[in-house]
Amino acid sequence: MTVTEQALVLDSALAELPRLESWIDEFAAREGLPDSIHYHLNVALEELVINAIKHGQCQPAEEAIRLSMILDGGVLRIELSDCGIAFDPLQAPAPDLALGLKERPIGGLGVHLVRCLMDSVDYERRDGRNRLLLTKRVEGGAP
Amino acid sequence: MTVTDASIDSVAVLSLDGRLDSRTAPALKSALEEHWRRQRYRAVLDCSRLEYVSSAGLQVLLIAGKIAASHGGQLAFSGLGAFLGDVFAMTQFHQIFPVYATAEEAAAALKGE
Repeated sequence: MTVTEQALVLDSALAELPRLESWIDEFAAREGLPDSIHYHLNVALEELVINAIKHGQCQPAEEAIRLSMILDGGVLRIELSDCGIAFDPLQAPAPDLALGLKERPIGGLGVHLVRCLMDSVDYERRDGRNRLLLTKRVEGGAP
Repeated sequence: MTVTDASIDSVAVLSLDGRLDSRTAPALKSALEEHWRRQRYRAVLDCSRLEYVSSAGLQVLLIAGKIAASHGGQLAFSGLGAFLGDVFAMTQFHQIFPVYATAEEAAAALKGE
């Protein structure tokens, strides 16, 4: 079985989001990912990349965000890094989902979704970059 | 995303077609604001042709739900597919929004309130 890594470099700009989307579409088509996994990848990566763009203050903005994705032995491994200010999104408190509509805070849903959609999410700060390592089981696993 | 505005028995029904994300969320917001300006705070969002919702999209739904509720109205949802159903479960949106199989059922429920 051949295993191919796919990589993408983005500027820190919201205008780059369509490129992220087509990159994910391309990978999903090439690897024949099920629609559910394709969808989960889109939601999780869009959320994390938007966070990096909006809050990272990446300098320079050009080529600030790097992604790589590989499907190996039925497990998707994704690395996302940015040169923004040190920020571990996993430190954000989990939203209280028991609250009613009026009490629900507006924020915090995105990172919660990322945790739900991926099997593992790890953060490290290395060489002046934020690095997130995500895994997602593709074969035989419940979403 | 396109938002098609209709009504069933005087309840607003907005059909969402395509992707609801940070780029397209303003289109939904302005469609809802059009109704709010006319003091119509009960609306059904029919998602049967909605392909994708990002967390930015969910945020807009949450904000819209709060605005409707603060004016004594309500947002209801219909036609959630498997993906959107998953996302609603993960965020417990089905605890804060009524969800119906079809737009007709949702409109009938909102009208009865």
